[in-house]
Amino acid sequence: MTLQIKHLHKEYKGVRAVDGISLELAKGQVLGLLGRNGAGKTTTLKMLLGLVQPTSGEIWWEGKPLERRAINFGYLPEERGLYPKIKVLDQLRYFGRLEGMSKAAIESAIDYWFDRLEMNDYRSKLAGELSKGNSQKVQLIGTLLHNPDFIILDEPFSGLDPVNAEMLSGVIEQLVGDDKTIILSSHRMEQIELFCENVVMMKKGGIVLSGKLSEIKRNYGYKVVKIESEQDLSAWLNELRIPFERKNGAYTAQVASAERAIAVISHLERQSAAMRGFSVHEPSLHQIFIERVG
Amino acid sequence: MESYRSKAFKIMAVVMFALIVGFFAAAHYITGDSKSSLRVLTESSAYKLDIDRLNRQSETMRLEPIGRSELEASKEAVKNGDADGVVVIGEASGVPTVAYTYSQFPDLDAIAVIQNELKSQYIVHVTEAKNIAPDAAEALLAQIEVQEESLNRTNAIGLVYFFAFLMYLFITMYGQMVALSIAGEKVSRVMEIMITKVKPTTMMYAKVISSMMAGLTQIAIVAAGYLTARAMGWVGEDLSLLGMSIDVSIITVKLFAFLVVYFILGYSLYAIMYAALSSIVSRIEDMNAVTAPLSVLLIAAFVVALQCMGDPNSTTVAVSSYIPFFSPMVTFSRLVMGEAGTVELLVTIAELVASIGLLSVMMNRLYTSGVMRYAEKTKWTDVIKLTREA
Repeated sequence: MTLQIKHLHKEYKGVRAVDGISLELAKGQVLGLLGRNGAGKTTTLKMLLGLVQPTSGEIWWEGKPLERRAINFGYLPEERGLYPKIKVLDQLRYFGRLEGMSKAAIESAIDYWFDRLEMNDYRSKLAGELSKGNSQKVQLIGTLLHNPDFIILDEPFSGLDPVNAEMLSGVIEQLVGDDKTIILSSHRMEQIELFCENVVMMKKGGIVLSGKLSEIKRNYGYKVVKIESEQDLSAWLNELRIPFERKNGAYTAQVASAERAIAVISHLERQSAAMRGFSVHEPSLHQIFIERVG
Repeated sequence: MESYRSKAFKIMAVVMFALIVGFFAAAHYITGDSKSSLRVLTESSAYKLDIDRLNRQSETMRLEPIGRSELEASKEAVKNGDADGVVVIGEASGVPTVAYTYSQFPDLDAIAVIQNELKSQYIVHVTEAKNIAPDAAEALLAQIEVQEESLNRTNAIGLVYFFAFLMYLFITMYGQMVALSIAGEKVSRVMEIMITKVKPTTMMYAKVISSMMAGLTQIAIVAAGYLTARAMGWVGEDLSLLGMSIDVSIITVKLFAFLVVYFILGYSLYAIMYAALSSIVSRIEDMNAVTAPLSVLLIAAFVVALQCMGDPNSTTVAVSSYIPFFSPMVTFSRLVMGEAGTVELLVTIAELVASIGLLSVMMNRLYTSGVMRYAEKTKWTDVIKLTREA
């Protein structure tokens, strides 16, 4: 196991920001860290990075107490920050030098990422002149410039327009393909479902749910039946005493199992309900999130 | 590099060089009419000034005779600055009187000359009237001579003022530059990225050292300005700054070396405090409140250093010389005045080094704790808590 967090606590003036969390992450895995605002995600990440001292608990890396300087990691913070009066290129070169990269390696990496993220027009711009999305891309370049093995992305999609969000998704996909160890903290559930094998869901400093995402969804406790119909199926569904909601010409109901779902469909078919289509699937991460931390 | 590239540094460098060279050039070329211009109305028949003779003899005053009708116009000229004063010589019961009208500051030297001249004439009249023998009159006129002997005469007062001000200016300016840089990184959140790449204390000292290099560069520019003026032959003997004499022969390599040493130590002492205190603020506007005590210390040090001009051996100055926060300006000022001995220099330098070492331990802790702290308001109690926390 690469990363192990054991009973990590952080208290601020009597308030437990992080309350005894433990988690593990293997090399090459992608972990989704979820929670509402103020759940303790960023504090946990900062303790991992050594930016904040834990009140108690341990963090281990490859079987030894974490020595931050010994790890080649990249960190994209939640709060965007660049030197506003320094040119983009100069800042990235500076960050590269701080990571011990050679001049040639820095220039090569910058050229690659500028092409990749379509940022060549902004090389000589002052960082303070960039839009939020572009400064985020510059910061992402700064995070990945030195080809880190362990990457922490804290809310990487916030403030990005759909085109840039798509671009960032492509980058994360590439990183996953390159077998990087990644912790991704985001409120965009579709991105978490796309990239993360494992998730940890936090609420008020503690973990309410953790494990392999596929297993969580499979074993969550219900299935979701979606029935598309212009007809009013409410009476028949009420007979079955199952909770449902109607939206945009479709009915969504929660049932205990796949067998129960089939029973619902069969019942509607016997009533000659006009169904355009139906599907049975596991609850979405969004639904699970709302129910567990909402 | 940010310090060197900043517009403020470049402007300051040019201004400092221009000021230094300009000062010496102005002192060299502008001889001008620095004599005191006095208009004299003589209303006495018995007492008159030999204006031509006095004008020939005096290097500091020029007398101009006027008539009664010109009196009001002359007073108006004094008001407007076209003349320095009006002297009306009269007589009351055989004794000469002098009415002196001036704008703001009297020229006491000029009046003393006029008084002496009239006194001589009065004595002659009295000796003639009372039939006093000429040799008796001559004895009465004998001046009481004062023989002066200075053991440590120096015209360093102007230099003390200059160097004390330079030290105060640079320590304040470059210390605040460090503070602003750190507070700016926190506000712009660049700090969160930098802290993951560089140890907090490494960052702090890097900023302190880089600003110090910028400050030393400015001192070098001041020196370059002086050497340029010297090379042009503009450095004379009778220089003055704001009415205070400057004896440039005092500016030796040794003095300059001590200027650099005291600047480095004084700046280091204050800069690490500026850095650590500014690390705890989350808003630029809180920075001044948190660093205000340092400004007060610096002003106090400057004021004591100025006291050195009047009495470099006063208790306040002598004691302050050994207080690390005051040493850089006060001890150096005493050195310029020729009052600081080798022991004092060595002791104060050792004290400064020890103080910097001790303070570093505390300030490192404060900086490490403070740098990732973001809070609505910053109070002085937070400083104490954070120093303990690390």
